Amino acid sequence: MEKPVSRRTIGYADGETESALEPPAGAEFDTRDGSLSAVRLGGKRYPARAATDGQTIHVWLDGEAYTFTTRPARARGGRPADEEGMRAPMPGRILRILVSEGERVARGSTLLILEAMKMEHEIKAPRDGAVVRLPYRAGEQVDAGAVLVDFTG
Amino acid sequence: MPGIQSPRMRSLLIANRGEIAVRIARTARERGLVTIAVHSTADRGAPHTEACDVAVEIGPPPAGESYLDGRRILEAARATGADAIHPGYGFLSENADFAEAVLADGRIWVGPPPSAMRMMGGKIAAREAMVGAGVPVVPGFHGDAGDDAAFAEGARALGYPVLVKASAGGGGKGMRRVEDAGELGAALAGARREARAAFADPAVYLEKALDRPRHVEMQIFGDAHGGMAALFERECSIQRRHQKIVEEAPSSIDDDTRRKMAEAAVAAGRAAGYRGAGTVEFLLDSGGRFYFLEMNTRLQVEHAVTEETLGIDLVAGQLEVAEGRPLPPSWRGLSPRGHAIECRVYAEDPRTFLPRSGRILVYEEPAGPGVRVDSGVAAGSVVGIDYDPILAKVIVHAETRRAAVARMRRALSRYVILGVTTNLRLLRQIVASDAFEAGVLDTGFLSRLPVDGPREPPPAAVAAAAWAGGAPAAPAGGAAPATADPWREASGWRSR
Repeated sequence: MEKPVSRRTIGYADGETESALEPPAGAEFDTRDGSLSAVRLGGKRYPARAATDGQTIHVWLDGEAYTFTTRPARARGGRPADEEGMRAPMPGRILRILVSEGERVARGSTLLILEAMKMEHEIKAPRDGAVVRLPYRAGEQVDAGAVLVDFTG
Repeated sequence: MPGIQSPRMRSLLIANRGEIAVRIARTARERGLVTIAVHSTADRGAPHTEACDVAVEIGPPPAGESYLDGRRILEAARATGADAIHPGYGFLSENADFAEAVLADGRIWVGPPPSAMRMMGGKIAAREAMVGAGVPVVPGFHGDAGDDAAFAEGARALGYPVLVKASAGGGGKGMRRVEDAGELGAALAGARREARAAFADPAVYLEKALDRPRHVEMQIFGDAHGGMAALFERECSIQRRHQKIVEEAPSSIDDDTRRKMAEAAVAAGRAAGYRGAGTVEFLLDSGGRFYFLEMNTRLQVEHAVTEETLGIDLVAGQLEVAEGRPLPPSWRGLSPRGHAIECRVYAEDPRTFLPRSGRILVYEEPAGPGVRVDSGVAAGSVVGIDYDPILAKVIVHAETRRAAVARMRRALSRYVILGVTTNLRLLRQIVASDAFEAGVLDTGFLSRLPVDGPREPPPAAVAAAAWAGGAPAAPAGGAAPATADPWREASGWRSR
């Protein structure tokens, strides 16, 4: 079964680099019960599955899974607080805070300790810099993705 | 022996969830038992509840108010008239107080005697007991609870690097590797905090960190009639965060080591007065010497590789022994046939190994000769943050290790899980690596594995994404439909 696919610019990135991709011309699609089962392209047939979840598109192609998301990428030279290491990797509780606001710290020094899944996770300075703000206090619960340290450096 | 014969069991409550609860239910049903699942509100309709005849809701999602709450589980057992309780692994499986409560309630505990659980539960006491039984242990220092100066002296005597470990520990919790004396104080404090939080017991001890150690464990099985069998070893050296992710049987140890290790494991089991399935874990140093590490007084996650190579059902054996019967006669004179490998599929970030959550949108398991999948999820399953993120285990069995590796590569390449991030890609990289093919394994394997980052999607994957984004089909499991035009604000895309 073939159906029209609109040609729009698709972006993909691995978290560090970003690139714009376009759906290739001439792709054909096999479906089973309305779900994708294979992509035919360039004379080859690739087993494929795809599903959407809100703004996220999940694709499995011949053994590999890929995820696309339409969430806006961080701005270039964006705030360091956006760095993944400064966010709570999962829901948890602030166990200890080892620095204070305004303190200058060296790269790799531990800023605070998050307890999640009964394990301790050290949040470290990504480089030499200063702690601008500490939004949470020890003992507080935080959600996944919460910015734990506003950091500049 | 009088007093140890239990009445025949007719019904079994499985005090667990996920893949292990499904796996236990399969054997129990084959034996004609009425199977009773327990579940939290988060697990309504989960595969393990459907694998059983009866399902009892026991509490809210947090494990402490459901799967870890022995009182609620006993209430479910009473309400359903369960003759026996199988704890699986994790949760209450190594909780001697709970085992005692089950027995005091007049029910069969499918596990070892509480006294054996207590003896092996405290790692410090277990090490001392093993020394008494003549089993070699990893050189270590036990020290006094809070005396850091004594620990510093102990570490100096052992020689750095050393490991700080929680006496009540497991799964890497309360564990720190210490490279030199300057790090010891902070490591002791951190390990004690983590141990107190996870196990309510801050006691820690030191172990010498062996050079490129291998982790090999011996399956033992005792009965109430003096029988104690060693059911061969499993190689479990491929670990992340001190937790195993790939296991296999047999290991490449030589026959002499295998025989001595089996003897040591049986001695450990006898010293504990062990009954049922247990695992004695050993570390092998680069010189081939082995040392007792700890004993797990329960069914192991990786028990399936033993089942496949020996052609036996360890859960069936657990139920037999729990009923007071001797070890199955067919287990005498077993020898492994071929080679089995297991890969644990986790919902986790492949680089940080941190748990990931989400709803599984598309789910297809691999199949074929010699491929077994023990899973606890299906399309539509929500993978939450309240429980261990294990989704499934892929177990392959083949005539040779080489054939088993090829079989695992194929199986993993046909496992589809969309909607939640898994470690499938990492598992594929492990089994595709030259080092794995060569069987050169130690616990540092993963740290040396050159792991590729996410690959830029090939054109066919981009085409598939465009297909899905262009016409949001309702995926199995009823995920939220796509927004009207997900491409509209596609100013910058990121992989997750």
